[in-house]
Amino acid sequence: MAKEDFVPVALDDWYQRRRQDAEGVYFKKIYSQDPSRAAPERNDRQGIYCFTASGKLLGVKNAGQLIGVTRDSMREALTKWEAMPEEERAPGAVKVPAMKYPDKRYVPARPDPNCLVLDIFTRVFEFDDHAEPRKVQPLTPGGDWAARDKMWVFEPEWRALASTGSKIGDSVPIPAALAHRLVSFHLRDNTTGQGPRWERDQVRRSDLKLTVEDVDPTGVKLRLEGSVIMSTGADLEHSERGIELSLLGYLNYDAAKHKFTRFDVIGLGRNWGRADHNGEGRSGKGPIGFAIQLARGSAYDHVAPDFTKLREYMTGE
Amino acid sequence: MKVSLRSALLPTLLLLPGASARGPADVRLAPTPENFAKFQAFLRPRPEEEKWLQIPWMTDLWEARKKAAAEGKPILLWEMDGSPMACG
Repeated sequence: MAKEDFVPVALDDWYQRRRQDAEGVYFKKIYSQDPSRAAPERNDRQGIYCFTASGKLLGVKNAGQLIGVTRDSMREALTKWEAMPEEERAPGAVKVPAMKYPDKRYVPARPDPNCLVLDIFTRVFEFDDHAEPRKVQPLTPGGDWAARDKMWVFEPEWRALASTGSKIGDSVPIPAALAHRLVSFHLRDNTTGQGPRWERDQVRRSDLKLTVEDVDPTGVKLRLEGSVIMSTGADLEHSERGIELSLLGYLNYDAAKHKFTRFDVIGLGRNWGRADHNGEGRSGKGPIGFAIQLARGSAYDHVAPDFTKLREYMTGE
Repeated sequence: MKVSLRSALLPTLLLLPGASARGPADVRLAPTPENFAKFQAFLRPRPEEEKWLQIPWMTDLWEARKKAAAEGKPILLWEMDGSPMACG
């Protein structure tokens, strides 16, 4: 239904609700037709909407509903659509002008063509009786699925990684700006929803290094390893929220292709505390894991990581 | 002299972040070359967790509006704080 009967689009509400251009006006026209989303005291416009190119709202529901609820909402919207006069629905009936003067303050950044984009997948999990990892009973629908994130490694940074050492065994710390971006903005529990980053004074430990495993004129193979501890309080036993991880990874740089052909890292450890802005997250400490890899070349590799909204993410300052 | 398994492992365990002053950490959570592939496969999404990616989500509302007008279709918008495509 979503593929055949609709034009599907997925957006970051943080940008959309702030836009002061034709697209922002159009979006406001849509959500203003729903009393709860039009309420002035509401500070977000999140939801799953169905509407027309002309700006008529056909239906809206909160995201995170049971699949059947969302499906029924979409079917109701299609019924309303099909009840509209043909001259309002026909292909070409609505003329959409070109977008002029987009509000650049609230257009998401796109990665530079030479930016290295990484996928990051996160799971909270448990161990079975044979010490094998297994999914947990989810706190929220889909909470047992791998959460997803993207990370940007800028060209000067990955070129610096590619230049790590000249002989086997050479070992250096990961560049500070890169380590800061990974630790502060990406190594957090996002399995129940969007949550806060780690502030600088909450990073209690960050010992990540690269070691040359092999090097020759064709390229370099690096091993990444180390450990990190982030916690809202210095006392890890009593802090409100925290995470402890050990990381291991393998990075291969191909000198002929001038790019990394492998960037596989896993992080394993424990986390605790309410992880997201909704106050969700498991109680007590439990296993968490991260899998980092080169972006897979999907249609969504251009989507900006959440914290690119912050200057600190882009500049390290 | 016999050396207990715990004594032999203790120096390694104390290198894990959780080991600090609170005793040895959980060895099951220590990434090693031997368990790397297993954990990587476990942590990555399963095919059934990515069925929603079979939907051709656009990421530009104005372009979606133009496409919907040209094709004579309504728009389905999934709007969340944090892009659904890379929620973070």
